[in-house]
Amino acid sequence: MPENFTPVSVQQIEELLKWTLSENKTLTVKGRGGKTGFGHLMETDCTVSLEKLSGILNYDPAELVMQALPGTPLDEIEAALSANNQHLAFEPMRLGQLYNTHAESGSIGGTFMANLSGPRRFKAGAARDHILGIKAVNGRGQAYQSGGMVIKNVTGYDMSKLLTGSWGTLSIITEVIFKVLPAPQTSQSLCVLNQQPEAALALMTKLAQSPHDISGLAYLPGDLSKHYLHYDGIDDDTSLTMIRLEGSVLSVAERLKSVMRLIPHKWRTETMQQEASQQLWTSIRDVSVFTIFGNTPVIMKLSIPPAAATAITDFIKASAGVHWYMDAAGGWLWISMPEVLATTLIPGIRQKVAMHGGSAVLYSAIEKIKKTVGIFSPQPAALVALNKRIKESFDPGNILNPGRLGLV
Amino acid sequence: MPKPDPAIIAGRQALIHALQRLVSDEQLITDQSSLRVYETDGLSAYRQLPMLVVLPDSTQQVAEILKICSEMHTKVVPRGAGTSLSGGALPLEDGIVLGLGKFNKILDIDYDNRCVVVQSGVTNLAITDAVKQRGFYYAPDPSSQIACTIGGNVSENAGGVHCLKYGLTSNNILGLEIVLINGEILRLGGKHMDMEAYDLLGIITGSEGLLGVVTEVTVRILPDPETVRAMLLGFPSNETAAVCVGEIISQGIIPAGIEMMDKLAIEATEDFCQAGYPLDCESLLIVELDGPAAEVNQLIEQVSSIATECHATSIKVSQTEAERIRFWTGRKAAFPAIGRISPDYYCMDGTIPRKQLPHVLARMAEMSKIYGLRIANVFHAGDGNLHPLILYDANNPGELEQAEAFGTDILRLCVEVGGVLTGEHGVGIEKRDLMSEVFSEQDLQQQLRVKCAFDPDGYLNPGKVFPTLHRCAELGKLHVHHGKLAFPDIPRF
Repeated sequence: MPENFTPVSVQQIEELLKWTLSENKTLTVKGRGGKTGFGHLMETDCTVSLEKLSGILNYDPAELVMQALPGTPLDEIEAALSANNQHLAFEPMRLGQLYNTHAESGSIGGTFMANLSGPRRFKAGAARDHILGIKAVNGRGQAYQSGGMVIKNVTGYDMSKLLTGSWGTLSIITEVIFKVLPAPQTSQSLCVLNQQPEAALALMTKLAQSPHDISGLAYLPGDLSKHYLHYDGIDDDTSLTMIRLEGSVLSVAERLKSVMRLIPHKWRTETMQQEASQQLWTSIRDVSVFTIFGNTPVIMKLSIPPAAATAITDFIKASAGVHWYMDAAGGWLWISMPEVLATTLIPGIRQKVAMHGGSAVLYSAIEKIKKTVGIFSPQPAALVALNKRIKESFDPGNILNPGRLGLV
Repeated sequence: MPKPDPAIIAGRQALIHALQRLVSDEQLITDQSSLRVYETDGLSAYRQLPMLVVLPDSTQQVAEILKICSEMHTKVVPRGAGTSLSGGALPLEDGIVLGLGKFNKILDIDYDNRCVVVQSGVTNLAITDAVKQRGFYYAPDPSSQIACTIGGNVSENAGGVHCLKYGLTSNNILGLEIVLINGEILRLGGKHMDMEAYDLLGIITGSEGLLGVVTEVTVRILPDPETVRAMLLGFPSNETAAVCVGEIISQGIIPAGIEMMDKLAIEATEDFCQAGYPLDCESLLIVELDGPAAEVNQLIEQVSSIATECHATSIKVSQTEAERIRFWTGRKAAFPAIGRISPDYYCMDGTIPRKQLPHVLARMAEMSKIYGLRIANVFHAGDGNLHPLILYDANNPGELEQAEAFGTDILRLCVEVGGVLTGEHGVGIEKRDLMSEVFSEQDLQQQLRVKCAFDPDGYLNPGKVFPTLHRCAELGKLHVHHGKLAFPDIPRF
């Protein structure tokens, strides 16, 4: 009996799922396998990979819409867009390095199933904000579609959004349609040196409230920044507050002046070199800034009201071996911690997050830790039950990525 | 609509007694003349008196009312301001209307977190009004923003003239409090960006009141752009204007809004409110650009030269804020202006791929001749979201039916060119029976199964969106034969 399936058509996926359901088997669903480290370890009977359902089906730059098969490599999508001066505005992160999956870019299907985004999140949204339509096969082996090729559409429920971020637990997608946008002509970053977290957060807040259309606001404490510092006369443990502006050359130059006026003179501010800033934003996006500590097995991502960021960093700063940085103007905190602390620290962090409202997702850990604390924060019973009913409405036999999210 | 259940109607008095224990007399409307206020919404061709109207003033009350209704098998139609253009708030003879008018408080304005928490009956414009003195605004701006509620905006995923650049309601909300039909109160998201587990914010937004009752909304607010200027571009034909829209976007420009008006709309509007529109053109584009002053000036130059290449007959750029607002006054008054030149009009809402604009506008003009009904076009050209207004006179026998048939043909045309039935007004009852033009039975069944996860007995807003109702038990069945599911072959590939 085959254990690995690589379907080449929707019909094969329908057949596979009907068979899986009738035989009481279970499936691990992956695009190109770039994000298999997310969620609980699954022990399923078979694996289905969508790598052969690959290719761009429809791309007309003037329509700002692209239609692609789910297994299309994200790199291929981004290259096609780039050739037309367009991009995915939600700046999807790459998880290849975090999950050690040969640094591969993953697939466009996986990008949506994981609802990826990047530093531009607070301005441009996440994958969920760019999905327009989807074709999929549910856990009964029935193909269905939702949405379409147009930017504005309220015809029926927004199933595409519900599937986005579902990590392959609701359906196997067979096509995605998404919005694309003109890429900025240029990008310019500033860094403010040596701010304490409170001062950095205050500055990021002020800038996010400004009309200068800033597309990146991140803060790296001194323990993380040293690899990226190339300025004379500063210490190794100097923190970096990063500010990114994107747009036309003229617009960026104008806004840069306006932004400089908002930064109090007492802070030393440097304009970053193109290449260095590019590299740093990529590291922030992909959570690879933690790699300077070598093996950092436990990583979580908090999405919080930005004003709560320092309350949470204050809470974790006393723990040895814990590192963190802020992205998305303080709306995100990425935290890495040693395994020995995880099972006590994570519930504490989640309690703190719950006080302010927010989410705290475990991105990386050994299964033992994942089992103890869960991938997601504990949720109220009514919400747990609703998530379970939604899962059943797509996948009554619980055959698709069973247990991956710990929701059922 | 679903056939009214006489047993439910007969139990009206018992329902009133049960509700009287929960709410004050002033919150319960039962007499015929007062119920009349609620008999229709923005789709006024359809009318129906509800059994009664209840106006809760707290989430707890909503929860208790829903619980009672589900225990007494009574249908519930949630209602915000009743501005739906698709009949989303049309009452049912054997159902109650749950009016959210008392949910009118702004609960928290939080500039540090760039969000506002409001009760669901707060109007769209009231949010912007509450934060504008600090230089912020709430981006989605449907034409009815002065009256429509944010809860209704969530239920319909409302758009407006700025969604090309700033997105729809679903892209601008962070959190919701909803009440399920069984009385459970759920808080989803909050002041943060990413929610855990399934994207319930995403599925509830645009669900037309069929999944839960929205009682509180947390919206994202944005800082006002430094400079905003609008341009009026006149064209010799609808086709040339449509080509220009595509050219602007092809050159990497995303204006804050691109609106289009055809000759009939321009003339009616200019006559009505003197917005300064050129009268020597067949088609008009309003292009709004925002950002830093230098960038906006540069974009105006670019758009001007694109428009010239596209044979624009006139180009006018707003020189002052007052002038910019005047440009928009015309657009925003377009519907009432059409109302002045025709006793009745029927507003459609299809979306099409932008490149199909010239073709679809030409086809609609042909259809207009065939039906003998005039048509005015005022719409969101940048999104490809059409709002053809079909002019008719309901006093002429048969004309309403003709207008509806014309509208249906337009929507079929939208679907034929790769578009959809509705861009922002919702399916409601209006387009319900056209859903099968877009979706297969299997597509609809999966949507209905999601409905069942929220409302297994179908008490919330039944008769809207879906052409046929199925029992959840039937939808949920796995067809088992001889103790086993049908046995397909092992897939061989």
